[in-house]
Amino acid sequence: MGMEIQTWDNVRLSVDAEGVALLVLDVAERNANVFTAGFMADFCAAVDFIRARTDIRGVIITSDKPGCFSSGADHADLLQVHESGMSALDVQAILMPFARALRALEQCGRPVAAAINGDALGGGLELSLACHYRVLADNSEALIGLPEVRAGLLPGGGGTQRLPRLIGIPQALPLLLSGRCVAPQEALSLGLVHALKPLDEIVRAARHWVLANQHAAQPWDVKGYTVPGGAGAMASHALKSFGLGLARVRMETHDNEPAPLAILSCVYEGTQLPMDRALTCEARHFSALLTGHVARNRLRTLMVNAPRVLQARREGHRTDLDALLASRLSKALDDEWRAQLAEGVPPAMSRNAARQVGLARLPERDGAPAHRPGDGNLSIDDLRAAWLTAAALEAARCLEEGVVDEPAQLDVAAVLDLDFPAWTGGPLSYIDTLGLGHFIEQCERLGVRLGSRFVPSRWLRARAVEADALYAHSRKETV
Amino acid sequence: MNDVYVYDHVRTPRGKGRPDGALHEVTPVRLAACVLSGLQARQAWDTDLIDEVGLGVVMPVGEQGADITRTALLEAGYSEAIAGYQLNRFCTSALDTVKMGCALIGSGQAEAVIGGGVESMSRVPIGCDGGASYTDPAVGRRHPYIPNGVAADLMATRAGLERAELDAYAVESQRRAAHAQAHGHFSQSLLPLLDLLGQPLLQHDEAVRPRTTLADLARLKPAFEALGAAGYDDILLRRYPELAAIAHLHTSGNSSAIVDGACAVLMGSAAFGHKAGLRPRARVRAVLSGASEPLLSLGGPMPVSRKALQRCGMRVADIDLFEVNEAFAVVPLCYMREMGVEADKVNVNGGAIALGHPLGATGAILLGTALDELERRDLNTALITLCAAAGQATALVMERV
Repeated sequence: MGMEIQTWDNVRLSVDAEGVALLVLDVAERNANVFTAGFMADFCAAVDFIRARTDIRGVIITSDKPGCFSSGADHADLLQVHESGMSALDVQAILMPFARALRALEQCGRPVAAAINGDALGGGLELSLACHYRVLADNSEALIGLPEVRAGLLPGGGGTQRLPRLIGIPQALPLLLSGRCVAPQEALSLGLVHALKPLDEIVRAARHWVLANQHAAQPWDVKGYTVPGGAGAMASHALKSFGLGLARVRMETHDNEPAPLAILSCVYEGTQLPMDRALTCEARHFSALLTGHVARNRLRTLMVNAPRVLQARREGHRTDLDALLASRLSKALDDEWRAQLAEGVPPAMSRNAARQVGLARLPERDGAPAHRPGDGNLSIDDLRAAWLTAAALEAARCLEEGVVDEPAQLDVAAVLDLDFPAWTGGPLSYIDTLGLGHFIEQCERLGVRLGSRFVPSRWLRARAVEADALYAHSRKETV
Repeated sequence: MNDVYVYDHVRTPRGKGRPDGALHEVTPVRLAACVLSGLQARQAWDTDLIDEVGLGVVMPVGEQGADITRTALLEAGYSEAIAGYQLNRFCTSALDTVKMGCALIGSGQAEAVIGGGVESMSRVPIGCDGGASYTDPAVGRRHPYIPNGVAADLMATRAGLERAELDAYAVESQRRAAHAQAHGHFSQSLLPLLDLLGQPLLQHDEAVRPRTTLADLARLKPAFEALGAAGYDDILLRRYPELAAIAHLHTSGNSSAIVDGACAVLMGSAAFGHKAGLRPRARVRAVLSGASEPLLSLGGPMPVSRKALQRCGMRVADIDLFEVNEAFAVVPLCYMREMGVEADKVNVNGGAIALGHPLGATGAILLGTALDELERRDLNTALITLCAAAGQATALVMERV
């Protein structure tokens, strides 16, 4: 039906006889439509094209990848951005043109519909949220959601702004804070999409809607719009959403995770601003997160390396090794618990310190050794550091002894099997987060205050002379 | 500094702060206008003698917003020449309006000032003002507003107090309040609230439960356990990591009652007394505010009381009667323990646990209660103090003249 076709490397656009443009997402050399730099540039170019062509009466966006509308940014790409050493301002500068293109699309004056043929995750869902209408294939096992928080990030393509403006803050926050993705039926009931249709009817349904709604605009671009349920400090849900909501986040993360805090602030601040300013606010928060350590740790250990390890396990490899690693780390933490009690650390202090760094499972044992009066100078900060350092030193010994070949093996096992706090990325990533040099200084300080168990090995000191990290590639080099 | 005298005070009875409370139908403007006109009517002075009027209002929004004091002054028939302001420092607000009056009179900027406060908690609910400390996540992550009941439980945990001690205090508050009520100790300063047809809506403090027993209170569930479990306990344990847990001991029975009410206090210089033909009843010796650790929230009265006593060169033993606001039972209990004050000098006519705590008005009510009781017992000195959220407190020392 296309009477005219315009093609870029990663998207192509055809305009039919009635002036309806079909924009097909098809990222080159990838199985999924991920947000490569090339894709983002091409998408921006396509939006420019649409804006310039006033004869286009409406736009349908769909995908040629089976089962995938778009899965947003690629985690390895994001990790690479972090490790390139880019500043937060640089990240913001990269992000903003795409955010502006989505904003231009929703304000182009023509109806724009997304025909979602499968997964719409992260940036993929955000792209569709910038459309005026979303029809989703109902016969798929599609997942719809904004899972960025799991990577230590937030949706940086307008997701923290458009989702609450669409469905209300009390409905949007749980999705943003958990990263939970939903199936088509729930996506419909939550109001993430407008309609479900069989896969082979979604483009037709989108086309029908576009032709029938020639004056489409986003609700937030219509005069008199207010966020459903209200926004800001005086909204009736504000105490629950932001007061209790913050308390819950702080309890669950012990302030170790910057992403949920940034999401709360982004939603609180952004929903009180005009959309353009709100998107800038979101981009700032996103950029600060991506250049921070926790996003690096979560991306590297959980998003990039863990799938590799899990695949190896499914193939029957490594099971013995992972069990050994878990048991060594577990024993190191048990030993630390006993050592702290023996030194006279009050059990409540020791437990609180362990909980506060995110060691949820430890220490739980009772029957503690009789403790003697402790050193009153020990601070909770020392104890928090002691817990993580005890595990990190045992992890470093595993590396020193050649039990593991590369840090990632150990970090993944620690986080997956031992619930080692994900914000650290694992005990070896924790060392890299401090920097090897600072880690050794911390060991020496703890050695003086808590005991010789914290004295680092000669091997580790030698490593510190060579480099400031245990991972081979860390900021400034690419993966 | 000029001497500052307290000449008079009146208050409304305190009505239960809920839809079936007797004052629920009375707007906060009417509550405030009632005490302002009542204060004037008692000795019929010329309102043009008043230089400034301030009322404490902790939720200064909705019908308590827009500077309710000026509206209430006009409603009360005061001279149009008198300006009014509202003030909010949480629970110390009314005492802070008295402090402002002292500053103006003491410095010679005013001859006569009215302080006081108003709060219709049944109509303008607590927490409806959307403060940044409980809504803006960027603020709350560093300086969270800890719900005061959870802070009270922290205070009790740190002090090693047990539920039975808090409940026993509450039973005594009820007993003292009921005794005072029955013997008319409050009546000389109470203004009955009248309806449109002149019939009284309420003539006494409505929330008192005279027959409360320890067994009754023991049956009540901890009121702040759920809030603590929602995250606040964890935030507090980060500041107080030596605690294994927060013991949730406060209930609706050993915490202050939610009520509606208003109060007004007339202060002035000696010259004002001559002009208006009024006899001063007490002289303010010291009044000041301060703050302590914000998460503990309720620990301010002790350091601020010490500072106030030091300011006027007095010692704890020089004070005959104390009014220590019963926001929660733990506050007066810790106060007595830390300051070394005997229970028979503190809140002798009961307190907010029995009588209720209309947030913006309580500071002035306590001042009035203490003054009436000093006169009844023919004693001389009283110290009034309240804690306010985020660690703040105000204390006032006065002496009969």
